[in-house]
Amino acid sequence: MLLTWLWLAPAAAMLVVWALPSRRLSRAAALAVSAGVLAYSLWLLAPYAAGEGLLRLEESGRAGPLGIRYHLAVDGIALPLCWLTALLSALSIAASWKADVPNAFWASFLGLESALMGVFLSRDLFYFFIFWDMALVPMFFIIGLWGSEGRRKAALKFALYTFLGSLSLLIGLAALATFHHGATGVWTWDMGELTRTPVMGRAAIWIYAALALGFAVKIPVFPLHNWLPDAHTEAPAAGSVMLAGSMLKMGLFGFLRILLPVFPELSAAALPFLGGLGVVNILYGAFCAMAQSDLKRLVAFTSVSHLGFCLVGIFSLTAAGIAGGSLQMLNHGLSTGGLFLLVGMLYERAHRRGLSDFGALASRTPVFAFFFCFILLSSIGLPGLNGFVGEMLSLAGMAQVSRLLAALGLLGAVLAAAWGLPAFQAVFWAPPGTDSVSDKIADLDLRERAILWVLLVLILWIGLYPRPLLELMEPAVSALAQR
Amino acid sequence: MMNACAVGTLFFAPVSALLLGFFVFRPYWPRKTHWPMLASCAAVTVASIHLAVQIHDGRIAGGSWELTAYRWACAGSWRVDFGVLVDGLSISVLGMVSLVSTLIHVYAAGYMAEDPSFCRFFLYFHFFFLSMVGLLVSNNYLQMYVFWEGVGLASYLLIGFWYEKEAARAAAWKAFLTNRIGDVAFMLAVFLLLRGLGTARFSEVFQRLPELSSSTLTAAAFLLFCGAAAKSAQFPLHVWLPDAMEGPTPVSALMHAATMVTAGVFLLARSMPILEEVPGVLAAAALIGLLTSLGAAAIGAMKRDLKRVLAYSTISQLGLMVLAIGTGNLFGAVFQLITHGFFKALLFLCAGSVIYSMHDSLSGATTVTVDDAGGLSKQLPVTSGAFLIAALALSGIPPLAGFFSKDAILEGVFATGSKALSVLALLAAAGSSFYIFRLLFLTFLGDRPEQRGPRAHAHEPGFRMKVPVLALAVFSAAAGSLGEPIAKVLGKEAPHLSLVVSAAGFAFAGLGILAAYWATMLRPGFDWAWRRAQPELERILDDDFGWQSFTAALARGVLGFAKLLAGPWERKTWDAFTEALADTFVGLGEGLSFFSRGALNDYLWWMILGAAALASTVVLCF
Repeated sequence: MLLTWLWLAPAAAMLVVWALPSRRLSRAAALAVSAGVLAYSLWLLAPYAAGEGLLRLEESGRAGPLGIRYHLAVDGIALPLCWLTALLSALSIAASWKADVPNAFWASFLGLESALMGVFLSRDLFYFFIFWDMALVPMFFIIGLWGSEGRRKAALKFALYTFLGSLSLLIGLAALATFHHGATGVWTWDMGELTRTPVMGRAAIWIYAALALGFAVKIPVFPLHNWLPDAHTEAPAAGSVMLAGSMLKMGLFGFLRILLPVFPELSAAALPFLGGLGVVNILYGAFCAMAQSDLKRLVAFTSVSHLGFCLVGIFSLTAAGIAGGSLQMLNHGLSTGGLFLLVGMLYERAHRRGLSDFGALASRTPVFAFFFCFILLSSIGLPGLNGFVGEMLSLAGMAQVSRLLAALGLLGAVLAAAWGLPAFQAVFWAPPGTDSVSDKIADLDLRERAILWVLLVLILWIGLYPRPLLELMEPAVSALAQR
Repeated sequence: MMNACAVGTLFFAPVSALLLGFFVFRPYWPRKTHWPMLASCAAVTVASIHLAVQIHDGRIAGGSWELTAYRWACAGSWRVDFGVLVDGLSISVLGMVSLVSTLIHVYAAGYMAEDPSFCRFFLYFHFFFLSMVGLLVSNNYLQMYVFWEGVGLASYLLIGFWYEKEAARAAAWKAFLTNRIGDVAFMLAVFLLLRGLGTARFSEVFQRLPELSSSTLTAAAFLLFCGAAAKSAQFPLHVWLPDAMEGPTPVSALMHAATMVTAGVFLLARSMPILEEVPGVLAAAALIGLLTSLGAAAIGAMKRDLKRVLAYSTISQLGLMVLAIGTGNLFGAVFQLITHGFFKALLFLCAGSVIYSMHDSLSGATTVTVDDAGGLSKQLPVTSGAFLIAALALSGIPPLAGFFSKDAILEGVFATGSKALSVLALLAAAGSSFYIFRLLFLTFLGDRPEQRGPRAHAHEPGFRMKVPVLALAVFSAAAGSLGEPIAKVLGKEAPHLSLVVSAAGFAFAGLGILAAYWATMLRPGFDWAWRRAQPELERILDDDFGWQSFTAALARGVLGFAKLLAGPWERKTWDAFTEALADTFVGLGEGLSFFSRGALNDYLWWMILGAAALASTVVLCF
């Protein structure tokens, strides 16, 4: 039951929080539960620290109809993602503390947390898919009910895209299980067992494509990224944090968990294509970010750019690259999540998000400027902070395979300076314009500072001493690495 | 034990000063933030001098001492350990850097005393120092890169320190962006080394160079040179340095003498074993260095802005160092790096004193032009004396510091046997004495009708700013005697003066001074006359021979491309297309119509149903 609690506790708490008589109570309960889940997920590290290895954390039921079996396990790649999900859930709830919203808002976050945990823990494809789809529902409400002006359209776009992605994924997963049944006569949806039976021939290519498409929509990979800027821009800040921080990782996680182990040869064959798409993501996202005038939209496009680094790393199929990609997933959650929180804090005060709506905030709200600058620097990959480690390892891994792709990906670092610093300067340094709302902005209060300090410490820690995390990932990574 | 303490001090003193400054002094005594920084500077200086003496006296076995602090990262078979490498190269540069930085810190405490952001200034300033120290004593390329970008960040924050000014913001961004281009080249070189050798540690990399293919080696050497060219402001990546004047003057002093631009030359010196394997890259370095040196001297000779002349002077001097590297003359490059650190810091501090003496309030006052100056030696005798010493040192007049280091570089150039190279190097040397004495004469001497001349209230700055100036004047005069010990710790043969080279160098330097005297003192209106006669020539030189406008156009082009991509393509074409597609489907599908009805609450029930279904499956399967 150790792992089951990770998703069951927030799911059960979701119902309770929903039913509570007052909004304030519901809010407090949601925060308490998410903090509890965070503490619990950290405690799960105990067996690892005791030298027993993470694989002791595995639990399964008996096989049901069609070989569907409840099976959860955690490894060095999944556990940090569970931590990230738990951390961001707690921070998101804390960050929206002042929002006057019904119980369902707080319940949605717990529901989302539960589904995401399920995705990262499932070893059975059927359950993986159920959790995968369950994650879409709360996010749909978060955007559609509590977003800003264009929320309806954004939620619809999000739903359509991800629905089509899920469909493709479902077809791929079902085909995979059927194919396995055809080859061995055994029905199973278990990732471990599927890995042992290689899928060959033309069918394998179609299955691979269907799965890759399903995952790619989620990441999102160019040219399937259209839903993302709208969804991010319109979602409430906390929703953007969860969407960028945790939910986009589902797609990358799918690549790591299913495509790489089940189809090693096809993944190697897809390397130039998917690695190339990763580079396109890096550059395309960065260029689009450069031209944005809406702060939140800008961060959304940088998200596209950052996830490109993950994709490049993962599809280098080298130990360094996969480790870098996995670490970058975490880093992106902290940095981009942090940026969305900061933009949210700004929006909460002024109800504006335009780059030219502010100015001179560095002298008016120095604390806010400090945090923004710090987290932005981690986002543009400054060495010594977390983003650099992931980007560097991803690209260094890719350089082992293709120097050209690595060099092109590195251009993203130059472009990062071109989108990051002008945006910072426009908001914090430039003198305020005529219709600036800088006067109305109060500096961060204690609650907001506490939230950001948590992120800041983690960012610095991963940047200066990433080894513990890399070592935690090592066994899972080397199992996936092909060279 | 003593040595371990000294090495520890190099990191712990600045880090604890910064933490103390940020968490204790910033909230409680912001006006006293300079004290922990000064203490840390002093500690680092003492530690580095101690280590230098140890290495010089051969008390450290092998002349170098490497220490692994911790394993930073591991992936696959790669292991990246962070640690410290104290050898002749790092310690000789570190000695200069810490000494000069300490003096500039003292000066800055006086210079910035009135600034409302005094505390912020010192936090950035000391972070700059920390990054440079870390860069110098890194034992591997990755760690060096971490501090390398730390230096870049600090310079960004300090150039943009007075961010209310449009020019300061633009200059800060330009500096960071240009440096990032070099950083990418540096990083790519590291990738190639990791790919080929699986390590980035200097000692291992240099030992195992034969394992690398010649194409990899060439590419790595070239990329490292590109990285260094951006940091050390070599053509065509020098564009950021002149604009970097927008920061407060102590920042310019630190950046030009000790902490920023020297990093590139240091990287080249550090990577000498790689560069030596690739003669083509060395030759390219020599050419680029020479070209940069000559071009910058020509531009510097006509600038009217005090600090801009000095900026181009830095570019020109760095060109000479890169030229030395290109001729395989490690000693010459490092020696010049060190003496240049002293006299260039002095020049900037003098310029700072001039600015300080002529402005009532400092905020935003970053410079003065020669039009505002003239005849200042009467009001500022100490400053003008110090400036004279620095100018003589820079020109390479014996027995001041610059003479010996420039001589070492010229020796190396003459040794290549190329007449053209030697003559051009001598010309660059003559150019440097011309521009610096032109500036000296125009600023401190004369009574020219075109100049506003000395103002009545211009006065020498206070004690805190005078002491560092005097100390640096002593170092600028005497640092020439450091040649022997530096050669010893670098493991090179001691320099010997050859009469021909020294005489040629001296003659050309003297020629430059005489020319400057003619153009400013004998013909006092010359500087203004030729501008009126040749406005076109001034424009071309002002534009770095067209390169500044070219890079500006390039930046605009990239931004234009981004706008095109984000607007007409992403938003109006691709996004619109997918939305139209979706509309068609939604229109077709009756079942999806409640999306448009907006009956979102219905979905809450779906959510419950889903959860219930999930829960029942779990129960079933358990």
